[in-house]
Amino acid sequence: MFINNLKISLRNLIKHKTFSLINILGFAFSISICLVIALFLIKEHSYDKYHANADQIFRLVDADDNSSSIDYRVKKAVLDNFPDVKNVCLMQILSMPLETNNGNNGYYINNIASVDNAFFEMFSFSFVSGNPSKPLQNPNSVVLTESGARTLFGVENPLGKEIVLGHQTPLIVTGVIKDFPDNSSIQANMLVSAENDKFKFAFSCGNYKDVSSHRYPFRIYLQLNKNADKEQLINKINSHAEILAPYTKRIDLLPLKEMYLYDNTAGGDTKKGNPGLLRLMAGIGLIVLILAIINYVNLTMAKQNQRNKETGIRKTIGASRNEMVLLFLTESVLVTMAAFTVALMLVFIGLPFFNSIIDSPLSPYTLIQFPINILFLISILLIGILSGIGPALSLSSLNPVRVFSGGIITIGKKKYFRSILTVFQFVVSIALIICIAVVQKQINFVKHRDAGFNKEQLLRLDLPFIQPSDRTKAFTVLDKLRQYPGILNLSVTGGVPGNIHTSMGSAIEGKSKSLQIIYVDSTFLQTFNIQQIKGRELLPSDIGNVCMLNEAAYKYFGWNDLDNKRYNNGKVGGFEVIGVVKDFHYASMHQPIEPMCIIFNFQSPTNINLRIAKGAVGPSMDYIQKVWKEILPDYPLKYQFYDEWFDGMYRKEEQFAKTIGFFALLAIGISCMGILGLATFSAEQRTKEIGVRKVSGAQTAELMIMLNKDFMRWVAIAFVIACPIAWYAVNQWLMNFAYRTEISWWVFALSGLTALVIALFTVSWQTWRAATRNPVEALRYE
Amino acid sequence: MINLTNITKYYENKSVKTFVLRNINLEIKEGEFVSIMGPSGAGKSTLLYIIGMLDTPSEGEYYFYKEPVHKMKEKKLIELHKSHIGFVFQQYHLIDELTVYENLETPLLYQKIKSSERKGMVADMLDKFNIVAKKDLFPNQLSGGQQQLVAIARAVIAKPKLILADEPTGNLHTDQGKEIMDLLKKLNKEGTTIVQATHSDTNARYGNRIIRLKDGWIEK
Repeated sequence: MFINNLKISLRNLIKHKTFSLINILGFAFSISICLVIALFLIKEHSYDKYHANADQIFRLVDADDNSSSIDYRVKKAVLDNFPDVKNVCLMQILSMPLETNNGNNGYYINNIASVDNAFFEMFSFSFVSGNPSKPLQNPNSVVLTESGARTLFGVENPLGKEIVLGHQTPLIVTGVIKDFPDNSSIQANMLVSAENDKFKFAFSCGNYKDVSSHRYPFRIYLQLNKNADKEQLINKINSHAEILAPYTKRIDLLPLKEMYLYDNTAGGDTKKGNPGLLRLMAGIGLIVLILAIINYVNLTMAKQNQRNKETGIRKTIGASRNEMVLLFLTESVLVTMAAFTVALMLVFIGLPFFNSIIDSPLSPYTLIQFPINILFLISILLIGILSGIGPALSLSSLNPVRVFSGGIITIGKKKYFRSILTVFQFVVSIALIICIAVVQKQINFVKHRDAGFNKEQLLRLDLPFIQPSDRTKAFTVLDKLRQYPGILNLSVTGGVPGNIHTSMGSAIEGKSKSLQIIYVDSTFLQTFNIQQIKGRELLPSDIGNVCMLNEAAYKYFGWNDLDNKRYNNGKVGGFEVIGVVKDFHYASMHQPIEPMCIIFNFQSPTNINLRIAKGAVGPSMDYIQKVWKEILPDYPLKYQFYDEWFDGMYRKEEQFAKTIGFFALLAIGISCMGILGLATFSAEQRTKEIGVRKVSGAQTAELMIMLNKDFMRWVAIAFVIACPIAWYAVNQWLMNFAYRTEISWWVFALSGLTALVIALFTVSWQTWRAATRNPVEALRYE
Repeated sequence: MINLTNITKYYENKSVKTFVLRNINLEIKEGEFVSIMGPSGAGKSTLLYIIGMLDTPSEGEYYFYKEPVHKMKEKKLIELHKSHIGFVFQQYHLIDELTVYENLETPLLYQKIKSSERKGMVADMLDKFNIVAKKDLFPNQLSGGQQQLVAIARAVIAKPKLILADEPTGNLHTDQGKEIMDLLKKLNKEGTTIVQATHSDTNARYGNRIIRLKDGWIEK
């Protein structure tokens, strides 16, 4: 019987090729989205679970401060006093890049972890070389990850070689481990020994002169014995508060497995996920799935009239209702299987693209590996049954007599439900189209808006900390660069537009706002093409004594002139204010331009800024690298062009736009399927009416207009509902920016029109078929 | 075999009753060949459907082999119907997606007959009706007469006691029609009770009894 059902289902699918294809493709499209979301959720929930001891590892948390930063001396206290604790390790991660040298070659390494050997015992690592049981042999040992090793040593074997950290500390490489996997919330490229005092990176104190108030906070991880109870241990520790004093009073334990998603402590040093986002994605996935199933049901029901006759016949030759239900379920499970297969293919093809938009790459192979593949197969069965049960029950309850005498059964009650569903789908589609139009508009706006300084061919060179003994060499580099004809202007600054790291108080009565501070030299204004609108010209003797304000600062202080105006901060006596410059964007357009003070003083320089002549970029870059390598070879060279850098500030928005675009396409696809279902159903229902009209002389065009009118009405209603929703949403999103583009009415109109045209095309396909059908055929139903 | 008492069928639409059959009293014995005649809309098909257990009467009693059909649950009805009754329609109503062979096989599938037995029964039918050569063709590749032949074969394959035929020759031309009626007569001679609904006097004369319906009543 089952084989028979399968045979019949297959034949039916092939008989209605186009319809089956649309059904399967539409379903597949939605399912592929659900699969990707599922992959994302699976990955996000898998963090840190790969460690062998994961169930027994907890991070120590100071319950009173809700902080994961605890002095390292707690480790010994815990190990000595609580036998339930098998092992304790220390960890601290320096996220700032630190210059590291391999011989004469300098590189920036970020994510440097300071750990002890217990760290390697407790957490699971794959050692490529070195001794896994005591990798940090002494305080001057260092373990590299493969990535770290590649950066510093290329393909050479680094074991036993020396590197120098921060131009001061020589270390010997005693081990290489495989990179931390993606789904580890702990990430590092280089691991140094926490026993080395230099690598107790964090320091705090109550009173610098009182040594007993000095604290060296680390993240402390405990590994409990297998049968130890977490709550009991917490209570034990807290009831003996004197053991861990004076470093901490009340503690808590955060399970390793919860660290990624549920860590709300301060100072964790670990990558954190966003459980809110996960819930949102799960919700979206579910909604997409439900909509897809409803669409499938709609389309199937629309075509069901063609199956009525067969159902009637089967019932007269002995089929029970249950047997009919089984037959239809076989079909729906078959379609679902086909849809899932296509969806799987889509995921394999499309995931690389998707991975480029998100930070943490997903692997499609997860879907076909145990245990997920079992879940996958069960889902196919469940969804197949879920989708098919509606049509199956309704079809199989037909009275064959009515079928034979009446012809087409109308299921009128459901018609409004279907229409509402279609409206909902179009509301989502139109709203998404509007959103993406506005987001794109805003991105273009901020990228092309005048920044107040000239970003083209302007290079930012990041200065590493130059040892005092190398200072003269640095000045030589500057001179050489200034001489090169391709470099039109050069300015050395402390802080740059795009990265201001100093702010100081106004030091003016009644004004409490801090000013953004940038330290510059005499060539700053020309190099950046910043316009001065008030005040006098800069003189060589001014360096070290004067400053200029931006318009925002000038207005903030409420001055009308620059007579005797000083900025009394930054040095004793302050700086004379000699000019006002036009406001320029020193940060991304997310932030408004606040009061800023440009101090002409050579102080803590961080960057060299170079204006390069048009067409001379290639050779100029070569020259810069040559000069640097010649004179300062053991300092890493890092640079970026301003236009690229500023454009990159909107990367998050661009990713957002891509994501919305993706979802918009999906929503439109689903909506089209939905409205196609409606149109098909309607056309079938009105076959006789159309036949009669044609015989009475109606033209194809007239008939199409008559049939299309209804659907356009629904799209129009959807448009009206979508507009205020979209308007509210984009307004909220634009609040992220201090500088916004206009939300013009034509954006809305265009979006609505787009949706209308797409819907029209979809619907017309069916109505055209219905309108051009031979009326004789239509009327032959009797 | 069949006993109808006071059978009435009406359709209700907002408290307006449209009667199709009124007070039908009818007895049919095993082995009879009954023809029900009457103009269009007289209720012939409806009467046939009620006898065939495809429809239920609004009022009245129906006894089939002394069993009260009007009181039976749907499941029992289907059981009874598929093991005792074969239906032949005017429009043949073969399943277009199945071959002749598969069409014949389908009622046997629903009777849960084993695969080897099924093969034998279908082969037997194909032979009996002389359509072995057509067994792998689809209904739309056959002529009207051939399709009706297959429909009758399908109706008969499970060896029903009763065959109900609703205008079996309505869509056929005279020669084909005669062939079909001859076949029905032959089946009747072999012991199958036949009730047919027909317009045609010629066809009606194949039976041993004629019942006339008019406006839902049996004409006396």
